[in-house]
Amino acid sequence: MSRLQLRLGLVLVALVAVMALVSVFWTPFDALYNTSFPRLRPPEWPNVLGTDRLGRDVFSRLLVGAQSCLVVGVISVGIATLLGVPAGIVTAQLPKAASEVVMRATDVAQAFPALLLAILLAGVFGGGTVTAMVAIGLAAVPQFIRIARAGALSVLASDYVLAARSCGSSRLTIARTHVLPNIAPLVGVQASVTFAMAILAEAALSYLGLGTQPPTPSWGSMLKDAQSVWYSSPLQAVWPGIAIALAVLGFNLLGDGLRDLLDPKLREVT
Amino acid sequence: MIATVARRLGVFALSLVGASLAIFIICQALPGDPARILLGDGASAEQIAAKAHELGTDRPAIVRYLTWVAGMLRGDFGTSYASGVAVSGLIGPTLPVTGALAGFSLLVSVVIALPFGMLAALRRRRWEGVAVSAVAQVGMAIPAFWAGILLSILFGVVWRVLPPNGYIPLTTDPIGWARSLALPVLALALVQAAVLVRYVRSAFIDVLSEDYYRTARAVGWSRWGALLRHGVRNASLSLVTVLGLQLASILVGAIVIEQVFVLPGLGSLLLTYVRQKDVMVIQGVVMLLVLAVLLINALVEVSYVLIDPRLRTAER
Amino acid sequence: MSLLRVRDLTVAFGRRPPVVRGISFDVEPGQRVGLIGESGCGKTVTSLAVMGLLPENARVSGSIRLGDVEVVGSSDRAMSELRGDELTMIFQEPMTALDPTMRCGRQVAEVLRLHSTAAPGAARERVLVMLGEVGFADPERIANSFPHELSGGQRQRVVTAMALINSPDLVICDEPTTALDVTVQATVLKLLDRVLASQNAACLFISHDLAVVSELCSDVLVMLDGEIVERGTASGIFTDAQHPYTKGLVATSRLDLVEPGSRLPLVEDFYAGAER
Repeated sequence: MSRLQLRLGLVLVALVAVMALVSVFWTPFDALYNTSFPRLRPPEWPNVLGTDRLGRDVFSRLLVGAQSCLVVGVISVGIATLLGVPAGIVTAQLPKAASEVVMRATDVAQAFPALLLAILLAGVFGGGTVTAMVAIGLAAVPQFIRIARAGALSVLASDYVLAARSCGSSRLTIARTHVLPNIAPLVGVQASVTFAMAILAEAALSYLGLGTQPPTPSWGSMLKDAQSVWYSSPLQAVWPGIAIALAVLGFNLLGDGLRDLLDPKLREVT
Repeated sequence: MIATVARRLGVFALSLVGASLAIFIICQALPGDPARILLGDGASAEQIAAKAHELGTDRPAIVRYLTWVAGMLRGDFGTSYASGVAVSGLIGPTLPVTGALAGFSLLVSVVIALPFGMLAALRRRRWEGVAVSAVAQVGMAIPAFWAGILLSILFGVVWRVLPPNGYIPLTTDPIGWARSLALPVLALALVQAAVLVRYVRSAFIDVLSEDYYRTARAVGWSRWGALLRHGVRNASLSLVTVLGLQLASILVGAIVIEQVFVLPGLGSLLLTYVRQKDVMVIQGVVMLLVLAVLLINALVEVSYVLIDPRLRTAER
Repeated sequence: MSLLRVRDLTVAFGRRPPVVRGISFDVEPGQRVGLIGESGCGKTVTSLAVMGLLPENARVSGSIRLGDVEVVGSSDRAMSELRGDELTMIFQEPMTALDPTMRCGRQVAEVLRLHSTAAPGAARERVLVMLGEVGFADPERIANSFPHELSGGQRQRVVTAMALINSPDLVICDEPTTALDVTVQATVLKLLDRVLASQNAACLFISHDLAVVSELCSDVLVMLDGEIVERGTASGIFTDAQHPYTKGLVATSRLDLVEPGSRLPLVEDFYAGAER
């Protein structure tokens, strides 16, 4: 069952990646500015998914939309990992009282949803892809601290680390050579799950107009456009939503599959 | 027991302070002078200084922070920089809307998730259980606002049985109120239920392996009877925690759903003033939302003692 | 007409070889039968089969007749009516057998009200009487207590009350005293003896301890690797054990008869081991 999940997840994620990659070099038609087609057409040749309210090819926009989806995901997960993992490893080595304080703080921080933080930052600094990425990344940091700390705690308690310490290895070396490789799978699972969350958040932000700005297509903003024409062309609302759902599903399945795969091994680490 | 409650209240208070500081710093200290932002780049130094004095932003940050907090404790959330209206006056009318939306969504999501989660646990090796898990997995991936859009198109445009958007207050027309909330609540609840089902399933799978479940079966309960009678109470401990966490995501989901269905709630207020970059309003609304989440989480922890009798004795 | 008639009972899980291999035995009304064997011999699986509580992947063949009801293949609903009423079971782990969120009195009352139409007041009365019968001097306090406020022995007595409140025809006891302190074991066993006798209930007593079984039961079945290798009376088993395994069990249960200075006996001395 977990093999199926893993494979399905990989397939879906690969699909999104391929869409994004291909669209960097080629799309059937220009996704941002080519408004030469008749507006709001249903799927027909050459517009396989129809055209939007400005006469642009929906399929091309869908392909390019995959780019913002992936970029936001990669950057925000990257921020969360780069900030959260070292913080978690350090926290694992703090004395009990300090560690308690940090964990309490992360508990509180975790109550702050990514979307809210993003809206807050958008209100202060203005909307846009960068604000979205930073906000989502920051909001995901507490989860990574938690995971990294839990993993680090059990690795640091193991015998081979004890041996390394008695040989005089510095904390930094130990962290690099022993802790990181062993918590990597755990972090990987969390990264996958966070990626899914980031895609959903980015879609919502773009829908609200606070994420990827027009005319760059984003699946979320395409849904916003679709809503304004739902009387005449309800089909427009279907494609971007399916794209979002498949991408999120892919990353969730990937995370679940990885977690199940690592489960017997996870029990040793955690 | 008193000690736990006191300690929890302390943590809650500290969290509030921490959150308020964070919000204040982000809103006020980082972007720079609100007066300048408001008046734009073309304004002269005197105009900015005058405006700053008028708004009260020429006072030191710490004074502004303390004034703001003290005000909130009295229910005064300050005044909007852009419109000069009291923020609490803006927030007031939105509370019933968002409150109803979030509250009903939480309720409906539990009502949906509980039986399906139990089914998924009981029949986890048969097709019913696998099907429920698969549907939940897909449901989790669906953005709530997309579900909202599809529902409003289906029920509001294609079939025309429910209003596709708009809000009718309870006091004006109860039926209309219910109808205007039906689709938003459904959209939010369905997606939340998908997330909850996994937790419910997991909690009840644990129950199935417990000895008290076996005892219940041995005294004559059917599988469902044993789960309902003895499982629910025991599973509630972990499920209540999840509900607390879900509230944050429901509130945030409500913000977006309000845009889909044009509901005059807290989310709509926030977004309107975000576009105007009116930090006073933004501060107030975000603080309120964070307060709600922290409060619910604190209440959840206190509720553990009510649910699990073993915790009561431990305190004595 | 036997109360319990088991014929050629075979139980297997998934694709693995059967854990219970074609056993047959009878239990008469009021009779106390001990089922003895080491861990893994299939005695617990047998008891669960009689209760109809085997997991879903169990494949059962043969016949188990309780009165005129055929257990093998019967629906869960039909079995649910029997369980707790005519057929009850006491499990090995008293510490976790009770619902931690519910007061004990209520849990006993539940068993009563599941199978009868007693009103809450009358039910409460009977619960208190039953709690008194299982040896509690203060049934009120026990009824109002939560399980975690009681000791292991007390919890087992509550479970016993639950098992006997509807005057069952057959009580299955799966190592009910194994998890208890030695001093408490004796109390619970005496209690079981008394209550079973007063209700004239039949009992299938499962244990690995021949001494315990011989105290409580009139007849003994010895189980090894899913088969019954010996049957006899409780007293007779000590004197005329036929099967080498039984001889080993007897020898190791009467360590007080061992010659001082000689090596303590092991079951393996008598019986080389199971065929798998």
